[in-house]
Amino acid sequence: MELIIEEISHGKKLIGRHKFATSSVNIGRGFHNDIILSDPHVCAEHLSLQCEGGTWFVEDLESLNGSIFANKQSITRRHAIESGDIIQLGKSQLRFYFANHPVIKSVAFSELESLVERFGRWPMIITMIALFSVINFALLYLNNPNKEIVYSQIFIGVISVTVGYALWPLLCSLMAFLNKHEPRVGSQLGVSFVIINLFWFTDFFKALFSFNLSSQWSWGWLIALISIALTFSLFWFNLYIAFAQSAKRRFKIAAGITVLVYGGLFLNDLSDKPEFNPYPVYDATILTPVFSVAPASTTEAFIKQSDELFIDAEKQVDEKK
Amino acid sequence: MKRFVVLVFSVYSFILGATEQAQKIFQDMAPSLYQIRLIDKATSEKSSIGSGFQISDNGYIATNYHVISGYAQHPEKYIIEYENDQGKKGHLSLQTVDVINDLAIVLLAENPQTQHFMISEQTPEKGEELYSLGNPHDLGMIVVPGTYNGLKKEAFNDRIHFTGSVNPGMSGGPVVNRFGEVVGINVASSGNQIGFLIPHDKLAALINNFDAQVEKTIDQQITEQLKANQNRLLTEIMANDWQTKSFADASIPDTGVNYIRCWGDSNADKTDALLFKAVTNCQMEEYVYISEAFTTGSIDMEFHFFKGEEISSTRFYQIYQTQINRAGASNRAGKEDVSEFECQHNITTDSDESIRNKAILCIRAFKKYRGLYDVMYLSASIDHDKQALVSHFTLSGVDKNFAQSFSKKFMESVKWN
Repeated sequence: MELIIEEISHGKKLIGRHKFATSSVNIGRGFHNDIILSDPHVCAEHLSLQCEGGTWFVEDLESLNGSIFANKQSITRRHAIESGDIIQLGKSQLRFYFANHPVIKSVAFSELESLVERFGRWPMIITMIALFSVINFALLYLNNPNKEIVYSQIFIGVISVTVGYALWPLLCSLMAFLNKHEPRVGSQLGVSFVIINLFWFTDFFKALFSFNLSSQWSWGWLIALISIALTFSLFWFNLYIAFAQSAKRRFKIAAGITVLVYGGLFLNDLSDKPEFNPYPVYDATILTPVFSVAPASTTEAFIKQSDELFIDAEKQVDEKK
Repeated sequence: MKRFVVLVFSVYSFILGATEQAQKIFQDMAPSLYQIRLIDKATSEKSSIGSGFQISDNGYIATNYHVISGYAQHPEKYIIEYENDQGKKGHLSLQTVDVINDLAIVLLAENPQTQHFMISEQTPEKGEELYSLGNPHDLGMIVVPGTYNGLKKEAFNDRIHFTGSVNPGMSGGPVVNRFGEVVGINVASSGNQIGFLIPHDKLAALINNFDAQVEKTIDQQITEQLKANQNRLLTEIMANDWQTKSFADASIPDTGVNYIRCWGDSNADKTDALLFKAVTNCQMEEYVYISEAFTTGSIDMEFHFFKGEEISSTRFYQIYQTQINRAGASNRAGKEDVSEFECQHNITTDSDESIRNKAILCIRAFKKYRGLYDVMYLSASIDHDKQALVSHFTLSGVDKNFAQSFSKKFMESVKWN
């Protein structure tokens, strides 16, 4: 029976794969072996495998450091091996499969995969990064209260922010690379900047709502929800591109990081809050007249609405007593 | 009999010169003068000092509210102590207060001496020589001669303008005429030779209401006084027909009362400024002192005009927005005094739709003096591409009705020309 031997790393990543149609295979550091391992803890003649009557047997050739199965059982005599067994010799690991070992179903090219591929093309990446930088530049320019604008300063600001944001997808690629996966730098950059740019739109809608809607409408939760969803999808895509994980595991990790980020922000907010704030906290968002689309309230209606404020303020006094 | 003694004494004193007069008054009245101190119970050290004077033969002593305000707010923390001209010390108990006129009456219950000051029945003449008594900076009792200059102009609550040195520590001390009658009480100083006194009729009124007042707790008394004061203030302002006055390209309200005074400034001299900015600030330069951390009873209004014709509308609005996000209350108040502000905002317009604003209104409630509120209003015009008007006011210690009616009147009187 044909035997497939995989050299794998400690993280179970494939290093090399060999297929043997013979009835015996020798493994060791010596050059006469069928599989030559360069691990110094492996003996020149370390393991020997024989096929007898359709069963493969493994035997340790009285090596210095011995050989053990993944379940910690050491190989002292001849052992029959089963498909999928892992044996450690020295610091190396080998996995054994028979030719009839079942493989998982083939995965069809998904919509998602092609989307990630599309976002990972350079024209898309450049467009997204440019969009990000342009919006950033515009905001820095618009908020500059000086008559004389030092453009080089704004440029440096924009570039450093863009590079700063690009570090995250690059870090994800590096992680993938270190884990023997394809780095897919393009896809990471493209998807990340698409999502980061979506945050700008969230900001814009937030400003539009703040500007137009009366404080009696509560929609802050909606923006918070969208932000959290965007953050989650960013991490989810980063994981999707970098690692081949089960959907469940990917969801768990992305949700975990999202909770960590927003939980941290929430705790930070909480600890920053003074015991008593003598200053009013209000929403001062204004946009240009063009964006003022909601109908204006009359003075009477505005004053009538303030009845609630008196009730709320009194409630605070009663509660804290 | 007493009146007769005073009369004889005053006829006699006519013939004395000012300095001798001062010495005479001081000698005669010294036993009725006291240094008033708040002693911190935990450390047994004094935490504030002032002066006081006896106003009856059974030990009632008048002083300033602000001298004993620590005790009025936290009776568990302090004791009120006196020291007389002989150096004798003892405890005093707080009887009644008038926070609007910064007065308090305390009682020396144990064996008071019987000599006391008389309160004048007449207002002094302008230019009349007066004598201020008190214990400045804990240096011992002194007498300071000075001149009566009438009531302070442009004040909501009457104060006598006294030309003479009223120093810290003299607060609560009496100011007497040449007959030794009390015509005022030291309260504040405004630097060189400018002192302010509480007119004697305020003390007379407090004495007349004494029996009704002592029935109530100090907090009840203060609540009633604050309510009456805001009622008097806002009734007068709301009854006025507000004139509008021109401010840059807009018109803004003029409440028509002389104790709200306006000051203006602009950056027209700064050629490198991106926006033209002008500001008018109108404020009442007096307030009601409740404690070191809590003041109330004042009105402020502020108007800003911005114009930026050389820049884009988007940039104008970005910069404009940063100018309106840090408004606050004008009075001091802490956690134990008020709730936190509750705010609302909306796009508003006045009844003839001459201006479109983003309006913000914030309210906080008083904790001890229920039914009174601080109000902060801010509105930013949003109907011109490259110019804007910000109108802002704060009210402190007003009831809901006045808070709302004032807001309404103010909102309706800010317009573009």
